[in-house]
Amino acid sequence: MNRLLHLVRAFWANSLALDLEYRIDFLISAVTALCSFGAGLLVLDVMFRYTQSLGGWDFHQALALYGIYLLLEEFATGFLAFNIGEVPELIRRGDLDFILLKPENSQLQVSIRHFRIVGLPAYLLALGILIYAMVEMHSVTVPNLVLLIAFLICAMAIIYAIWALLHTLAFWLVRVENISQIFFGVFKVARFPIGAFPGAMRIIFTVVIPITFMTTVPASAAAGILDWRLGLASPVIAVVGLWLSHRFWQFALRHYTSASS
Amino acid sequence: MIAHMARCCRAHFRTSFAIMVEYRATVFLWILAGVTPLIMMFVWRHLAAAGPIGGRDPKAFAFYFLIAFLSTQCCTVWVVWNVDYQIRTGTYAIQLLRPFDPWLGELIENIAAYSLRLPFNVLIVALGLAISGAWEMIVPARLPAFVLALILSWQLMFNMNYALALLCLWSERVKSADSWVYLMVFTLGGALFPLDFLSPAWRTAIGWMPFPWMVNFPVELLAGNAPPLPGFAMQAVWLAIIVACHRGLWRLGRKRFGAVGG
Repeated sequence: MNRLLHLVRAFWANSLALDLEYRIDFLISAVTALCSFGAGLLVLDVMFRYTQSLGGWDFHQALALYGIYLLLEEFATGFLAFNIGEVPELIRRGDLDFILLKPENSQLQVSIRHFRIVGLPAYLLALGILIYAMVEMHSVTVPNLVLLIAFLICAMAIIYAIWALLHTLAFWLVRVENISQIFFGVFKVARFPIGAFPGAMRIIFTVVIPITFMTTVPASAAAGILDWRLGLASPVIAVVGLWLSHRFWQFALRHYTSASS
Repeated sequence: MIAHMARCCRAHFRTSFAIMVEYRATVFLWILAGVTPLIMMFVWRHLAAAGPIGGRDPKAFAFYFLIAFLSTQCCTVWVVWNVDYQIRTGTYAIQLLRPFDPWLGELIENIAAYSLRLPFNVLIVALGLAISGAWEMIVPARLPAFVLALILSWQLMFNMNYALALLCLWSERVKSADSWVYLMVFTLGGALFPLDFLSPAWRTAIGWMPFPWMVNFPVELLAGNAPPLPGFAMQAVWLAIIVACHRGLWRLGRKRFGAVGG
């Protein structure tokens, strides 16, 4: 554990220095986070001007869900994309060799190398909306918070597993640097409670692609309207996903032929 | 001189197209990346199943968002990403050595990608229109004006991105600008909800921006809800402003360019 903390500190101090090099980019990111927050509010505002409920959810419940969506979106674009998302590029340029040579788990190394301080405003805004919505719903209780955090961790594990599985394909396909668009395309569904979609889509996005477990389950825990069957399935899917991603990475490494000389 | 230019362009188009065909998977992933309007279509149709919302029934929503999807796909460019990458890795120097302005090079590459992707976009939209029955809302006489509006939208998006990309000559990394533009085009353009759902004050305010004219205008033009002249005028004025901006940036910025990498 100590060793892990040491590793994280070294990696993140490095990426902080890198981020501070590009200050205009930081400014634009902060503005984008604000705009994206405003855009989401505008969409919900317009929708609830014409209807009372979005798939059975009221305004504040949908708002809590939107906060969770923003949080996970930043987790994907600001964290996963710069870590596991870099794997195709590492393979293509042969830089993966340097990682394999280090005496530390390679999947762990490619997964936590960077932490972008640039994403901080986005995380804070997302948490702000979530907390505001929970206060408005009078659902800030200890059990709700514990469940919320637990399901958020499950959601992040599921998203990470999907990214790891997709990007490990680069060992064979090489040129897949925007394969993450497969994720982002489908993830946009997570902006709304799953009940807002017609029946067939609801089943697909629960059973086939676990979108429901990304935002709907944590948000229903935050609102205190959790469906227990989904709640029990969530950690199971997270653990199976992580295990699969680990096995697939190991399998891919055995087939790795370096690209560098 | 012109013949020489035309030959250069043709050669660049051929190589760009070959690259796009080679990396076709990447090109098609951009369709998936832009599905938001289609997802919004499902949500709004589901809401309208109980009764029309804001005067629109499920069929009208299908029409609105399918055409909005087509418009946003015409506004899908990755110039910021390209120029940012080239300047940061030093390959931008190669662009400068080519016998034409890098702007033209990017434009040709963009056209090559579109000629591969747009036929599939049209197919998806046609299928959607046929399934939802919104097909009958299309008036063939309005199609030429609609296509012109789409071309102007594309040019607005392309040049706006190019202007932002040139900021890279000062800052070396402006990738975040890319997500900001897409956010604006999708939200204020009307790809998430029909813009007439906004209050009049909001609509007047955003009417002065370029974004509503890039998505909402072509859609409403095809639906017969928007007068053509003011829309085309706004598109033309904004295009002139944006092009003037990036020409100015280019004149100032290229003096600052020092090759990175080597």
